[in-house]
Amino acid sequence: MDYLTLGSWIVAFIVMIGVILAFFRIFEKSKPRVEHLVLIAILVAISILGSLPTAAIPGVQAASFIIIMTGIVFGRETGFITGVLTPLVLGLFLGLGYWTILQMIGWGLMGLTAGIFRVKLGENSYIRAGFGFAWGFFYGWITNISMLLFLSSVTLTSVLGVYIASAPFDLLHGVTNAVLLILFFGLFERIFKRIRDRYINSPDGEAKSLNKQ
Amino acid sequence: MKLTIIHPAVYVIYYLLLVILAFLYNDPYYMISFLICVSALIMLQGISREFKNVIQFFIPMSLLIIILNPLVAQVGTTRIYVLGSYFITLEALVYGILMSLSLLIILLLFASYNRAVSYQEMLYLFSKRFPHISMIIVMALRFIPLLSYRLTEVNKISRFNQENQGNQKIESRVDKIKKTAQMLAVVVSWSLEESMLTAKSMKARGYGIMKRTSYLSYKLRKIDYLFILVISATTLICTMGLANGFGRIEIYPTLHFSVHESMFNPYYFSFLILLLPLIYLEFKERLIWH
Amino acid sequence: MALVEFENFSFRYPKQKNTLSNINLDVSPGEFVLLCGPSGSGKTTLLANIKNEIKPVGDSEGTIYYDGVDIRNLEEKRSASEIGFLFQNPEDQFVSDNVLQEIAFSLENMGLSTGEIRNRVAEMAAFFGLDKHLYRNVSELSGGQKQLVNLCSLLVLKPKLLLLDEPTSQLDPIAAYDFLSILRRLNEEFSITIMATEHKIDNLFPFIDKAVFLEDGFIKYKDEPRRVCSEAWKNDIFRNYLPSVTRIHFLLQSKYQSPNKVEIPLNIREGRRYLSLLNNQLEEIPRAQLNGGLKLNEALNSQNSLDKHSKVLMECKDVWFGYLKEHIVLEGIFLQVKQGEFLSMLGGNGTGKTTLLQILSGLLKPQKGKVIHGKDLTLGYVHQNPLIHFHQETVEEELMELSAEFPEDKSRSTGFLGFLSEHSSSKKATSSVNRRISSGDRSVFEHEREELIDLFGLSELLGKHPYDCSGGEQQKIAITKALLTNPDILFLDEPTKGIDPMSKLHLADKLKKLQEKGLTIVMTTHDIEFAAEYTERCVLLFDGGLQVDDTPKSVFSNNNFYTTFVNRMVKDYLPDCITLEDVKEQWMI
Repeated sequence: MDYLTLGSWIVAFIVMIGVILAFFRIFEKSKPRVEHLVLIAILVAISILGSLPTAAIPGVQAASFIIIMTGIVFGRETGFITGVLTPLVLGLFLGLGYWTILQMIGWGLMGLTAGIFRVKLGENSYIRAGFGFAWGFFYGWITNISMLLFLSSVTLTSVLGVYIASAPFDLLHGVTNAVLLILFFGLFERIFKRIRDRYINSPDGEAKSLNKQ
Repeated sequence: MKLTIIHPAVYVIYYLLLVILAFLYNDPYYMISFLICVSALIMLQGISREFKNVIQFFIPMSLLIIILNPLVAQVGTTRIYVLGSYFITLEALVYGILMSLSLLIILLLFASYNRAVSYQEMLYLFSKRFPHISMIIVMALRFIPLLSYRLTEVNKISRFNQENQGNQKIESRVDKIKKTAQMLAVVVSWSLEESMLTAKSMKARGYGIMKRTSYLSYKLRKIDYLFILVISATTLICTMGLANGFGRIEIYPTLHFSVHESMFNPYYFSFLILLLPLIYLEFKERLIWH
Repeated sequence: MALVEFENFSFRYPKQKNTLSNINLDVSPGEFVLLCGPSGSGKTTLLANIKNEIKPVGDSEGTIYYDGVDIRNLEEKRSASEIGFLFQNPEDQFVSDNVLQEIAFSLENMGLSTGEIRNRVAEMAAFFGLDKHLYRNVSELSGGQKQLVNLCSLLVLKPKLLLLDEPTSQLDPIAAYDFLSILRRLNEEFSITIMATEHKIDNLFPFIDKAVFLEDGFIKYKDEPRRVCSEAWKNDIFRNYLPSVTRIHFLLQSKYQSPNKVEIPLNIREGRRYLSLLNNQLEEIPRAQLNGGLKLNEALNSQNSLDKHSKVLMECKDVWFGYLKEHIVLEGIFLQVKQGEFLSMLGGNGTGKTTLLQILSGLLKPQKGKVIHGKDLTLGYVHQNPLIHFHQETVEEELMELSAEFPEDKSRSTGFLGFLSEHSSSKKATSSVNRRISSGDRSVFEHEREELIDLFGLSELLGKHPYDCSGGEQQKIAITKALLTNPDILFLDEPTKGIDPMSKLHLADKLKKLQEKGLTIVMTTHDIEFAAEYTERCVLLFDGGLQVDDTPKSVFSNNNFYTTFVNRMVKDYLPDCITLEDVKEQWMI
């Protein structure tokens, strides 16, 4: 790899980390309530449980589903933070690597966009399914960057090559997302909303929650 | 048990440096020395078991790199014709192989890093500026085993209900996904409900009323300064070497590589010295404790 | 001056009637105060109101003073460090994954220096003997250790006042006893003021300074324990809350005159002393009835009651189970479950009670050995934590769920629901009932559901979210749900965990009724009193095997330590008596 390419990769990674850290700073500054912190921790733990290939859940990647649901119900900040922390904690469990950063960006953006389009996504199940399906690919494309690092040059063909190689996985991911979002949106929305209404937006007024619409 | 004690921040910097260098070097001699040293480090750290995981991850990725590189980059001059007029270049093939070697080194470096720096140490570095985020991470790590226990219990109950309510149909994949999601839903609602008590308990113990401190405390000690001195000196020399082309071979447009020219120069030695301190420290500990 | 002072305090949750009304209460420094009352009487609300950080949302009147300061004006730092609050469930209070971090958590919150944090952790860990466990993962600890770690995490802050909300309700009796001894030490040796709510008070009553009984948010009794006892005995509900020893005392007092005025006994030692005073009068009761002859009768009876249900419904043969080769939980268990019996499985923590129950019910598969039962046997199972069974919005939906998924084509076995229906007294009728259900007519099933709902008194809860119900209510809902599948055997895992004495009585009553109607019940429990009083057969697990398998009478009358409070008290006079009812019968009171 020549210095220029390496340099631009390093800059790119620094920017990514910078964006994540900036978001973290905003979160810290917003003085989140304790309930909010515990909530995010639980959501992160759940999405990790949904993505670990354990015996209890055979072959379903539920992390993306949980993160999208978080974005829709709890809003973009919570969605983003949950998305970003999921791979980080997963990394602490299974081992960190440079790909962790890409996963953080991928899942973080997933939660963020779900939060941005929460109204649309909540209303229309087709849009929701399409959103989940598309994110199966977007996520794949973002994490594929870790492969691009090892190719001689980043050209259209090389990018296409990598993306074609990962397409089957992305397809499966997208379809799983879409199916879960169609079948279980209502169930999980109900569960999440109960918590949101009871504890996060509790009526004592001091709730400085992050998810103002 | 982790024995070598260096300030975690120094570790982070050192490993980061090594990862960048793994991308920069492409001279086979350097790469192989690098690989040997990292492997030795891993052996000394006693994580040969993780070696297997790394290899499992590495093989498909390296194959992809080796195959994709010549397919997408037809920039070399030494053509190898495969099918009629379709050719790949030797240069691209070599590039792919060297790159997958880099990948291996990087994977091993991360494995070693995960062993060397515990997550408590990482969070210690992180928690000063991001106390809430670190708290979330700590809690998430605590919740994972708890939720996983709950999930197995819910799984048992769900199987039990299935057997005792008499709908033992042959399961399709959709049914399975459905069942999984339903189980996850029970765990989610149950855990969310209980987690609010966790929040209460945290508040009751004064979380958030003032700036948090830490049980852990690391100060830079003599050995850390020595370590920093060694790595910055050698890195400086290595960088100078790299600027003059030591440690790098020319691949495109034509592969240039000869046996004699790149060995036995101060740059190579400083590179080796850069790799050694951690190995030396780990080795010393081994001798003491065995 | 009082450390805590309630002045005409009332509290009301939004849109509800008063949870606490007109509370006046003084707690002096160093006092140990026990709060008792049925669930919903406002105990927890009262405690939580003293702690600013977790004060429930609602309207309050009157004032609470802490050390002379209005609690609302108490500095955050002072409130956090001087007032410690321990919750019921040890699991929910952990925020980090190892013991050390957990203990240090509260100190880190206070912004103490690393050196100070280390000092305090070291001191506390040494005092509680936790130093060996510092780096263990919290999920590996036993329930008692978990609660101890939680307590440590409060004590490092050097609190002056500890508020404990049913701290031992989730622990087994031994762990609970240890925990209470520690509380006693903290109170006596370090003069920490303690306010605790608790249901199992036999071990606690002897060393408290003041007992407060709450009813519907009002303070019913508030006094030194002996005086409270004599008051509470007059009340039909609150007498159930008194220690067994004291209850025996009152029963005897109504019939026999003690020679000289005695203090009301609170612990076994005092109880025995009291009995020795009555010695002469007790001996006048015909001996034959008390000793040898009785024993023989009992033995015969017990033999009969075991044989009565001769049909074996389920049998496990040489069952082995373990997660690790080094740690085998069950080593070659042989056990029969007979039709219509109420079987309890007892044993210390980690002896494999729950594992055996899960193996019997088919939740777990044994690694070696077999569980044999009839093919068409239907089983019902209720988990330790009833929450696991709920996934609907309301209790009603929870109970409707089954009829929605009711199997259309499976001809159902003759189970227990049939017995419940008064219209169908014979097996024939029952099976016709079942056939009618399977042919799509659900009205009978609906009818049976109504009856179950009535039996367990759930009709008022139907509109509630299951999570919003109290522990006892959740237990009943889960049991009802399990019964709707029409099981032959009902498996219950710790059904009395954390529920108050009245709910326990209520639950026992219902279970007994169901059993009389033909349901077989197998349960694990830590609650010796409960097992002694209501079950017919006790199995004691120890070291991977079934140590004892007999009637509760013979199991507990043989034990010196692992037995009921009643038995411990009257052992010298009535060695076979293990429950209050037995004593009443024998002494004709």
